[in-house]
Amino acid sequence: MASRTSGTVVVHPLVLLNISEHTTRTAAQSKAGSLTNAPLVCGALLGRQLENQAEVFLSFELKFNARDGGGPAPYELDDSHFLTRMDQMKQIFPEDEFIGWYVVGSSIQVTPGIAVLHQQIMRALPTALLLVFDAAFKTCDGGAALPLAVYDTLPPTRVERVKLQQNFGAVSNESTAAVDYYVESASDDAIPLEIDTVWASHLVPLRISIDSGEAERVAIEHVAHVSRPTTMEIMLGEESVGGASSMVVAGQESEQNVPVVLTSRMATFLSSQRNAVDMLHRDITVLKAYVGEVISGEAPFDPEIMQLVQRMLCNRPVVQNDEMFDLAMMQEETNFHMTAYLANITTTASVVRNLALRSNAALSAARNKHQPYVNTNREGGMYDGSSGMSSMFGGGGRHARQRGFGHFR
Amino acid sequence: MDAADALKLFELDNNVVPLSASDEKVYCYDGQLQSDQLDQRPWRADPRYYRKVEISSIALVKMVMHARSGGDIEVMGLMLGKVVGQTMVVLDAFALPVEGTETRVNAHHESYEYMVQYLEQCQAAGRQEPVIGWYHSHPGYGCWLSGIDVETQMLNQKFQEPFLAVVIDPKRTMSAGKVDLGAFRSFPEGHIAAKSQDTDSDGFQSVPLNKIEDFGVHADKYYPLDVGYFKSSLDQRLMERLWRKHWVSTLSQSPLITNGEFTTLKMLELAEKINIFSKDAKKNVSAGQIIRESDAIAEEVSQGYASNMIKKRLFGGT
Repeated sequence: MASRTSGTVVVHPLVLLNISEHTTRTAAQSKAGSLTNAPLVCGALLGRQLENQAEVFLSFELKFNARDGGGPAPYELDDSHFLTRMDQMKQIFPEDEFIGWYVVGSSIQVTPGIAVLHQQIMRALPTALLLVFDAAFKTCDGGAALPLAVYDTLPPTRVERVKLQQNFGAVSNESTAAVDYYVESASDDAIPLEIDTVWASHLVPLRISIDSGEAERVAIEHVAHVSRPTTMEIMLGEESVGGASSMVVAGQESEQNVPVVLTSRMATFLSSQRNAVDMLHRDITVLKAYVGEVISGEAPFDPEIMQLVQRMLCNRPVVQNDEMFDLAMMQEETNFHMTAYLANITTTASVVRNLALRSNAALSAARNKHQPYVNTNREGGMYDGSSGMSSMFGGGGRHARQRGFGHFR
Repeated sequence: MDAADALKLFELDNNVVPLSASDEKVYCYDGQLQSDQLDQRPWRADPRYYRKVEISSIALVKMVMHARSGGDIEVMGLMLGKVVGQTMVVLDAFALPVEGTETRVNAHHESYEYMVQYLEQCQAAGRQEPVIGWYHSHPGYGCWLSGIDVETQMLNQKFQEPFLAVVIDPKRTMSAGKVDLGAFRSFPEGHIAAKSQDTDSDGFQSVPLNKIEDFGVHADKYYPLDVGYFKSSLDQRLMERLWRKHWVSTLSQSPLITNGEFTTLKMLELAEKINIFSKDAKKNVSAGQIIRESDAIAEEVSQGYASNMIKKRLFGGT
């Protein structure tokens, strides 16, 4: 398998969310019978491509028109729509190019129908990437894999026609084994073809990784942990039941889907860190189990994985006995303590100020009411001593005292 | 093989996508229902008619990323959505090719053309919702409406109701690691805002000193709406899968490094505020505000420190 993957594609979560939204919307509309377009969920992928690494940043919907009479390709890409939107995206994101397209299906296999559309896209971009998103989430792999596959289009080669047919036949059997996909490219009459051969491009799967910009990460975490699943309440337009202030952290781990209601940001932060450590632990456990099985001979020896494990172990601990690092750590620790200390002092000063304000107000009220019982000889009230402290915070106490006592002196 | 049959293999089958009943309602646009609601013009009778905003996951991510991409420059865009009773639902957002400083953020002529064209294309691609508001960024100075923002918003509310204003602070979003976003609607001209508890909730926003006057003067010309966020069940399942790839960045990022500079700036700002407060307690700065800000800074720094400690324990050796 590894020898067949020619490169890597980095997909940004924004693209996945966009596809998800497009799918949900189309499905909802088609159920309600208000779908205006062909029931295809397809879109363009924008990003950058370098050597054999591609990065997909953005996407937008593509429009396919139904062609009269159906035929082998019942849908046709709306070129003018595509070009206009491409032009619009260019104005805002000038660095991103059209590098491929996505289609949503019920598996990550390339079906003949997808191949027909891919031919049309190849007319616009012969090296277009093809992202197939599995809306049914059938791609199991222990529930960890992302439900998508990305294919790269290689330059066309001469392929036997039989091969073309065969492979799509295999798809319908839902085989998970890797299949060679070929897409027939525009036939070039100038080059004579042997009988039963066609020019076709090979679609090769790419290795997928997920990456996100820093703002994207924060926003995605917000979606993952703060956003609630849709409820009928939204549609009824009712006031939320106190949901605004308390954050519900749910679904971070599907295994234990117990919503925990948290109120402080610190708690949210710590729980997301904890979850990350959990994931790290989980992955280490998997690796450990694998290495153990290799030693006992139960699992096959994969030199690539073993080398990676060894390299990782050699690098650990990442930093050891580095004076500069320790110094930097200590500085940060000092900064943290100082900040916490300052915040505490500020809070304390404010509390003392409030106390001074209130006690003086109370005292002056008490003097008015029970004048005979209070020793009027005591100048300045019983919290006079706090004036030193309160002056640090604006001398509010003194203001109040003057106001409070002014009228009965 | 029959081609039509083959196509059915990937045409979106209703049973493929697991939709909850509420997803269907939220993501489907009913033009009739919308115009019925709008015909009544409920905002005429009650200037505070809309009380809540629900923002979809895709709209949120798009807005935050766009705001951040502007850096220190304000950026703006439009939101698409609908109204449901007293709630405004934001389903999507798109950027406009306008950048500006504080005074320049409003929809210009050339961007208007862009907007109209964009909407046409969206509708052609099956997105039926109309524009429901605009968003712009306030890099580093909090979520509130400035004098010019209020004017823009008033104008839009006059001619394009229902209309919503959303403000995002990308800098505070990054420093707190939490989306900093506010949604506002202005009162009609001449409306005297009832001095209610709202003034208190406004105080929650910490506004820098050089903006505080602008903030104070216009603060009673608009009101904030409660903001909620939602995601579809497909989003939810996707997020679960994404998290399995995503935790690495959660663990590896260091808030102390990414936000060091901004934290220092905020400290200076706070020190200045305390100075002003100790000279004259009645000048735009309240004690509660100072406390909240200092606590927020301390909390951010302690979060950064906590993540440092976690990493040190995990990878630092003995």
